[in-house]
Amino acid sequence: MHVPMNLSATSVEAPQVVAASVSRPLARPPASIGWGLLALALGAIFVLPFVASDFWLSILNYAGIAAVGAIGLNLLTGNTGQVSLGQPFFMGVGCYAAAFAGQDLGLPLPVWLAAAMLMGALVGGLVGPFALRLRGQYLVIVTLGLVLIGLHLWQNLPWLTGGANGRSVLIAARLGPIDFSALSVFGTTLARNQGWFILIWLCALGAGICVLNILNSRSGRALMAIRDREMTASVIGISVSRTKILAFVVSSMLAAAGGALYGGYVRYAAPTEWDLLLGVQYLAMIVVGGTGSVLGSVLGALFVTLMPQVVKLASPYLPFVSFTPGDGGIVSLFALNQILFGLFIIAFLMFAPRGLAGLVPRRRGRPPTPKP
Amino acid sequence: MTSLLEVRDLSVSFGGVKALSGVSFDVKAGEIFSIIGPNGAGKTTIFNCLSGLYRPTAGAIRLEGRDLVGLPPKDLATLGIARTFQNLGLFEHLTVMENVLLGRHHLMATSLLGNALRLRSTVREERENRARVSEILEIFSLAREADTPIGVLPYGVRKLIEIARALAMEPKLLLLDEPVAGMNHEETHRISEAILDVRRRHGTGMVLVEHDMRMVMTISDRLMAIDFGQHVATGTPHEIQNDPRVIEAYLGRAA
Repeated sequence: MHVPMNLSATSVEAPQVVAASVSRPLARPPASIGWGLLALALGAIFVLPFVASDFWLSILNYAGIAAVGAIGLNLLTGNTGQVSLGQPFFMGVGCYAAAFAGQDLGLPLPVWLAAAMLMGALVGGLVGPFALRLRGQYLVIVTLGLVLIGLHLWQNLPWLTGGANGRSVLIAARLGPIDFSALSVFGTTLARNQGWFILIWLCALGAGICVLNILNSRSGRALMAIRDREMTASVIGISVSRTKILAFVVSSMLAAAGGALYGGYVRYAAPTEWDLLLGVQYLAMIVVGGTGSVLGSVLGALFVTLMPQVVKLASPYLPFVSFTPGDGGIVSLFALNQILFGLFIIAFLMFAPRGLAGLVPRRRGRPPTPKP
Repeated sequence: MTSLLEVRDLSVSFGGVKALSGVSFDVKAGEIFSIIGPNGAGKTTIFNCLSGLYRPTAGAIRLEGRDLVGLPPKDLATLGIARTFQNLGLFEHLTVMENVLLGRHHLMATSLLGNALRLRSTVREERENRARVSEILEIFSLAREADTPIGVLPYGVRKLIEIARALAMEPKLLLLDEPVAGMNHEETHRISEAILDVRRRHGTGMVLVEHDMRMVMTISDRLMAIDFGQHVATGTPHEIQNDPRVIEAYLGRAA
């Protein structure tokens, strides 16, 4: 007879041992988001709408939408090591699912947001097995194809997308008595940008907390194990393909949520919104912000969205920027933005591989994430 | 006494090259069984078959009578086979605690959704498993390093962490691939003690591949010598040390 393995037996017959070790600081699972950071985030979400100008609020709203998709992509790329260009495709899926549920069927906010996320997860779950079964960077190629197929698809589904002209996305941002489009505080009705700022950034905060929770759990450790050593991960009992697909599903689901928020906020969506450049921009966000870091996704989204505006504000003082042909400038505002964008990505890769998040002093951080 | 592990006529070829031909051995529960042989003899190939990374060309592998050939690595881990790697298989960007917790992945059951929402079941499971890992780390005197990323730790400590992770899997059979390679005398002693301690506490069956003959002869119950993928001899350390075939394989034919 063989002697049974009794590691588990010790914990069964001696619960007091477990209880005793629970009190040790070591055994306590770390809280996923610190109270300080949570308070700071909530403070910003509820104070900024009353301080920032309407113009900057609209820019910050775009940044918040981008943050939702970037948080998803970073889980897949930064934490699981699977590079994807597919966020625009899933944003499209989410936007049209929300438009269909919220406008065509007239369903409320929780339903259209849930419908968008569900569709994103579902389509992600259908594509994932094909894209992730092989090792290496096949996902980049498959998702590149996916975005191109999407562009074609959106042009040719007029009943859903409005075809080439796009469609209106008139969906109610109402949660019970709270209408984010016309939020009423102490008898004053807030502007649309103020209400949507709160809605969008609450969604980003929710996404961030969920992903942080994942990273500090069984599922998140499995993702990072696959990123670091795929073969070893399988030898210690992790189902590699299943885990990769789950990461892809979460990433797609968050992109779809971002797409739904985008459509609802802008009230309109054209098929050309969901193009390849957007997919590259999402990758840029996580590289600039910090691969594998939730805070990095948010900082990257802010950086990539705010930079063009800052450049635009500075451009009148830059002699080499041309606003009209023949005014003596050598570079247009658009081109200047593209150049700076490229330079920043290279600069971050070379000098700050851990991104903006790596520059933030940390109290108790995740271990450093690998260079992208 | 029934065997924990039965390996029968195991053969592996890569193209035309026979890496293993017809190797058979048994490991009993609680036994430390070592495989020795010159470089390229096929020791790691045996391990790769036992952990599902290679599919043998022929032969049978049975754990407690259950046939394992053709099962993916993940299933073998779940059935109770854990291993360490010659060149370390740690996740460098994760902490010691996270690495060892990963060994318990298959013993944990919470879903991604439950984890994302940090449901009570997730918090409870996490707390229980962290407590269990803390105990294991204390056995290896690693408790102080729990929150240190692997990347900054010295080689000898990493070797110990890998054994700790394999142990955290609560295996029936533990495969140790050169656990003391590149270690000094003191570190070798520390690991030998840890291995014997594991056997004493848990009665785990172990297969050891190691070049440090002093260590192998000290802690093994039985040994198997292989050369060129073929079985040379099996026996107690004393028998193997005095077996002329083994001496020939290692030292060449006596003059």
